[in-house]
Amino acid sequence: MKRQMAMAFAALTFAISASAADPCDLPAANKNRVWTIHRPHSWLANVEHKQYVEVPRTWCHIWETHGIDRVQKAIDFGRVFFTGDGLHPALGGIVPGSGFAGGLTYNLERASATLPLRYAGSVEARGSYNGFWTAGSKLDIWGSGNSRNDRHIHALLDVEHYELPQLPYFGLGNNSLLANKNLFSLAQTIGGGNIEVPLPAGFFITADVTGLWNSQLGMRGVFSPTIVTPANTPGLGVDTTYLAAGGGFDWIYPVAPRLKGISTSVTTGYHVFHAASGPYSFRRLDALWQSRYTMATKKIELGTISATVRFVEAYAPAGNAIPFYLQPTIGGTDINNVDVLRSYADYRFRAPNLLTLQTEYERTIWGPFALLGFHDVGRVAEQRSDIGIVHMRHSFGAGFIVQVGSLPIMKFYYAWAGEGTHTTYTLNTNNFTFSEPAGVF
Amino acid sequence: MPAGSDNLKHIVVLMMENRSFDHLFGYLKLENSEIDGIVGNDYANLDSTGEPCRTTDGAIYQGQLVADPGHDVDDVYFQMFGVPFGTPAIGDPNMSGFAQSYEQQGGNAPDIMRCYRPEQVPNTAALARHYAVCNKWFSSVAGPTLPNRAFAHFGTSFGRLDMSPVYFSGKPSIYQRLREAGAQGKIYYYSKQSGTMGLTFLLNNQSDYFGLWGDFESDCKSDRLPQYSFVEPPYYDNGPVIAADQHPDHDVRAGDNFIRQVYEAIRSNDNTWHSTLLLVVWDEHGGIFDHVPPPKVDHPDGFTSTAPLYDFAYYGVRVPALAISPYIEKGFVSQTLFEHASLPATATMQFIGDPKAEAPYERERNANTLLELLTLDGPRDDLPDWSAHPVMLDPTAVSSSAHDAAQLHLDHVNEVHAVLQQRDPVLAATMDPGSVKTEGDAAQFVAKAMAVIHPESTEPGTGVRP
Repeated sequence: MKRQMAMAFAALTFAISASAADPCDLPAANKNRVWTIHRPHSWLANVEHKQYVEVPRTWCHIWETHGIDRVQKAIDFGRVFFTGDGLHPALGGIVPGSGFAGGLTYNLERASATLPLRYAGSVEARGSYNGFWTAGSKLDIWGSGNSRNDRHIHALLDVEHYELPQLPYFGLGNNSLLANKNLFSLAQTIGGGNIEVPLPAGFFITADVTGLWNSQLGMRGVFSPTIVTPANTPGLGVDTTYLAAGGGFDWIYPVAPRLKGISTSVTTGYHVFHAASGPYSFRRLDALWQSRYTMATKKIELGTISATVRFVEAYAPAGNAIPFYLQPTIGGTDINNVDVLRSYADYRFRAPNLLTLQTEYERTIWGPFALLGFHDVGRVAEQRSDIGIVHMRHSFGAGFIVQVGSLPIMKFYYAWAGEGTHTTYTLNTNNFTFSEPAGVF
Repeated sequence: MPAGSDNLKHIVVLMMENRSFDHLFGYLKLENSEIDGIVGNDYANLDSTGEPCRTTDGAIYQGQLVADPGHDVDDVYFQMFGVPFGTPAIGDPNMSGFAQSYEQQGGNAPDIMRCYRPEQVPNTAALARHYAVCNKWFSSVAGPTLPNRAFAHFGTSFGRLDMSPVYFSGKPSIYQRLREAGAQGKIYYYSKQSGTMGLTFLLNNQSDYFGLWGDFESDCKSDRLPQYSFVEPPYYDNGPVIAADQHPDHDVRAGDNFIRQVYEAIRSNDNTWHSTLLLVVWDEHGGIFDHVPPPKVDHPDGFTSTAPLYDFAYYGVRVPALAISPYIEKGFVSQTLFEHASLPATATMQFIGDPKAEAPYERERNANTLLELLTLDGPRDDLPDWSAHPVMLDPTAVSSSAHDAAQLHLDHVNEVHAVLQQRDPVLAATMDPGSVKTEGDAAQFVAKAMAVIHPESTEPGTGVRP
């Protein structure tokens, strides 16, 4: 018996040394026990329970430690707080000029047990201090059947609403004046879906259908009658409803991603925008070509040079016009957060047709920080025949990028040429970034 | 040195996510009895109502483990010992807490005991049949992904248990150590969107240590692999690519295909194939049942966790592992104990020097290397049979609880009874350890005693059952 007692004592002593009750883990364990007693639960309830357990636990662990370990515990808390299924904060801008926005997002991932389909959905709402807000939801769907080459069908369904109370408008065309700045408001609701089907050799075929409701409530500012009139600002004060449908072909090279060397992607699309009422129907052709070349010796990365060419042409049938708020812009950052002609004001030049050429050089300097240099060239045109490489506007600039896993989460740059200088930062930590239905600007 | 190691110029590691040995490889025992798996409904855990949940087939590719099975240190402790983390466990792990642990995550307890038939994962099974299965590869930490992956990269997790990235740029990873020795090591992660697991912050200023999936394919084809390669599958559904890491609830088929892609990339060039050892291993069990109790760590590395307090005394739960090389005997089953520190130890042994002298941390210094598996003098180029081979489960192998109790179980019963005599002498007097004859008897005895010894850890019906 003494031997047995000794063995039991030894076992208990060892076990105690192996782990000890932790003031952060005990409440979590108790919550889990209670959760088990009251089971079963819906999978949605399980998602919320997990957050209910993990967020306070990882927060608690931060304060149990010191120094670098406290930093690491804070990172672990951030992982739980900002990512994964469930409710999370959403931080970042909505569109250029919206100012910093914050809100909440609810993310869920699920896979079908009976069908070869996978789903990821988000519902999100964000608002900024100067009155911009957006709310919406999206659902990504992937085919997950047997595929020997990693590539699967991907579809996206989304519904979004934007309230954008003050967007700049400088008139149409490549020669509009900065001094003619007006502000207009736009409310936009988008609902639709798109599908991307992989083909051999890096090709994809895409198709999409989108319903689009626009309410353009007013304009304020200089309001020069030569700049802002129904005649030279189509769609001014007019609400429009569209059914937009189209598709295209995309191509990537190489099919399997490479870190160094050349990579190229080409995206094309042709869309018909049918206006439910009014003379505002049109068609649009988009093409985007991007190439990157990452230079490196065997041991040192020498940075990445990239070139981007973007081309948009629009056709309006006789008697129809394209509402100004659906015409693409260049200058600063556009409504889809694409930077072109970065020394100019955001949304600076607007017209149905455009051509832009951009080159960038990016090099990591330390950890997540990279340096950026760029040269942008571009122009918009009210007539298709005016598109060409003459009378292009230019921007030069430099800045830095904060990136996580080579994906930028923050950009800060200073650009010059053209109409002066422009300093910009962008930040987006959102788990959910609203989609950009093709052809909607 | 084993014959094959003379020709070994490249070691490639593919680390998958969160599946246990029994779950993926268990039913391969029906084809090869040396594999320490299952043949029917051999093992059981009790759920929170006291109902036994037995190992069974019926694992499906996705949509089954909807609630992610717990695999933090507290979850794994409960799975291994059957009592909550922080509560003293009696004796060695008994692998009794998986069902209830999964219930705590909101899961359906029987699902955590379900296993794949080999024909459901035909590529993985084909490679297992054609090369070597490691019967005793244990995850290094009874915890989640990142500390386990840290053992693969550094030979230690530096005492970390949580999912905070191990970002010790000043610490000697196997990649830096290889470089200092005049060799090269590289992490091939799938894409920039997928990133690496745990080393993302290193990507930007140490790009020479990294490549993408396309670089791996290209380097295999042109026979330009570095001495040591660590391949990471796609971790997320993104664009046309879906996650292939097999983490629940990702599609297991995608992972099965990705494993074959890695193999076929290596076979795309005969020179590459004839000089490469491919190791396919899962980082941890992901909260899914395995029946083999992890052993104690013989050579602790001295690191401990302070929050929560933990001393890394035991290995984590057993994981599936394959060793693939033209110098490995067909259908070999290794009985050697491996852990993730065996990965840098193998690279160290082959390309730097004896790990006992060259490895910086104790666990790697004492980890067994995979080189002993390369026993053939010349390469074999025969291809695996990729076709699915259905297996027949053994309906008579319903439970080991009917087996005679081993001396280990009887000792465990006596230990528990001794403690019970201190806590509740009246109850102890009614329980006779001498009446225990079978494993099932032992499980019921211990369960009854534990309900008194640790009532806070025991829901009705909770107990230990092999």
